Amino acid sequence: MKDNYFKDIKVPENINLSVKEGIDRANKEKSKKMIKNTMVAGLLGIVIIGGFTTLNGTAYASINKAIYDIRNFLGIEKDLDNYTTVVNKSIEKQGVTVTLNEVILDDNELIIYKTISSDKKVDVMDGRMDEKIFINGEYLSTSSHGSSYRIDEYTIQEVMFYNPNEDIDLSGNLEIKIDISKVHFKNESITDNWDFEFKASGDELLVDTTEMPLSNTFKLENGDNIKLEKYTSNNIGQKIYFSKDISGDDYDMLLRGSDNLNNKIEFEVSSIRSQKGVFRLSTVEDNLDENATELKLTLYAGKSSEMSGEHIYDLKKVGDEFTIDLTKIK
Amino acid sequence: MNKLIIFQDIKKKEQWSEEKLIKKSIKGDSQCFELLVIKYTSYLYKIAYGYSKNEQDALDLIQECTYRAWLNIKQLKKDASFKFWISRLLVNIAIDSYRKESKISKIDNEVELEVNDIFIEEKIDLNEAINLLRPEYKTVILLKYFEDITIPDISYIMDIPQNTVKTYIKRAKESIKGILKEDYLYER
Repeated sequence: MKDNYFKDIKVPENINLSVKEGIDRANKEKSKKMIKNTMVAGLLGIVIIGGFTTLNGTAYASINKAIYDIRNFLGIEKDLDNYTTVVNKSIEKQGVTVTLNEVILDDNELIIYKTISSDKKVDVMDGRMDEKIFINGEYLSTSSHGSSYRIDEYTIQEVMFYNPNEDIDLSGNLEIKIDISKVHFKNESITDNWDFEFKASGDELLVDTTEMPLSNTFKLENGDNIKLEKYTSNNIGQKIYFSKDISGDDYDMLLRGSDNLNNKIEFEVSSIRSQKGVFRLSTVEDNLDENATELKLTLYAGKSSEMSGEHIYDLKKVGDEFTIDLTKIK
Repeated sequence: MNKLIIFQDIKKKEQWSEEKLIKKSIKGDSQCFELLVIKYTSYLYKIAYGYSKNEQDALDLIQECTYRAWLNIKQLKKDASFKFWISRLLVNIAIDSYRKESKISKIDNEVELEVNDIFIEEKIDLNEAINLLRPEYKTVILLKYFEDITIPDISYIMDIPQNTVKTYIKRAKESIKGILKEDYLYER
C-alpha cells in the first residue's frame, strides 16, 4: 500500500507560500489586538495626564505597525521600560515608510528597533539601509548586526545593534540623529532622506548594570591571544568583554557551555573592532536562569569566511573550560 | 558600517532541534514557527488533499491551519508533539470544511462510496480506490499505513475514540477491498 495513493500526491512547489500567508494573516490579527490594547492604554494615559495629547496620524501609523517592542523582539524576559526611549516616529518617502520605534543605550551599544513598510511587497531580505548616526552633532562610525522579521507582505521589522568603532563616551543625555539615505529592496534601492532626531540616555541602565573582572586568556590557531576582561549583567542581558591581538585574521568565536542548573549557555560575538570586542549571551535560545550561580564556558573559534554566520557550527574548541562564579558579581 | 551581520538568525534556527523551535514558537518567534510548519508541509498537504481532492482547496486548508496554529501556538505544551497537534488542527478544519460542502450529512453512516463511479470503469486500481474513500477513511489510512502513527495518536489527531479509529480502518479496508475485489490489503 505504501507505494500508492499518498506517495503519488504531488505537493505543489508554492505550498510554503500558503504557510507564509497563514502566518501573515495571524500576525495581522495579532496586530489588530495590539492596536486595541495600545489605544486603550493611550486613552487611559490621556485621562491621567489631563487631556491635551492626541493620537495623530503618524503616531497611529507607528502603533499600527509596532507588533513587538525591543524586549519582545529580542526575547528578553525582564522589564526594559525604564531604559527604553520610545520614539515611534514615521517618515514616508516614495512609498517607503521608515518608523523609528524604540532605542536603548546599553553601555557603548546603541540598540535601535525600526519598522520598514513599502507600498510594494517585500521579502525578508529587504529593508537594509544606508544610514549614518550622529551623536551630539558628531558622526559616529559604527559596526552593526541584528535581525529582522517580515511582519506581513509589506512590512519588515528589525532590531540592530550599533557599536562604535572608536572609544567614545556615551554617558549623559545624548542628542542622536540617524540619517537614512537609501533603503535596499530585492530589485531596487530607494534613495531619499529619512532623518530622525531624538534624545536618549543610557545612564540609568549603566547604574543598574553589575559587573565582575575576568582574566582568562586563550591562544587562537594563528597565535593571537584573546583575553576576557569582564562580565556584565543587566536587564538587557549578559556580556563578556574581551581584548585581542591584531593579526589581520578575522576569527569567528563563541563561548558555549552551561550553567550549574544544566541550562545551555551561548555567548556570541556582539561587536568586535581592532583590539576589543564583546560577547553577548544569546537570548534567541533563552534568558539566563535567575537561579544560576555559576557558568562553565568553553571558547570555540574558527577563521571567518566571507559568508559570515553560515559556518559558525564548524568552530573548534580553544583551550580549557573555565568557570564564572556569578555570586561574585557586584 | 564596516561589518553587517544580518539575517543570520534564520540560518541558525534551521539547525535547531524541533524541541527548541517549539519552545521559541510558543514564546512568539514566527520564524521558528514557520520552520516548524514547513518541516511538515508535505505530510499536512496529503491529509488536506485527502479531504479537498484538489490542489487549491488543499492549499487553502494549509493556509487556514497555519493561521489558526500560529494564533493558538501557546496552547501547545512544550513537550507535546507539534506534528500531532497541528495534524489535529488540520483534520478539524478539513472536517468542518468537508461537512459544509459535502452532500453526505451523516458522518457515521455505513461506507458511502461513490459507487456509481466504480462501475464506469470495470477495472480500478488501488489509488483510485483510496481516492474514492470518505476523507476520514483516507486520513486513517494515511496516518496508519503511510506515517506509521499509532492508534492512540491517530485517536488524538482525529479527535475520535480509539475504537472509532479501528472501525474506520476496518471500514476503509473493507471499502477498498470491495472496490478492488481482491484480498491483498489483508496481508498486513
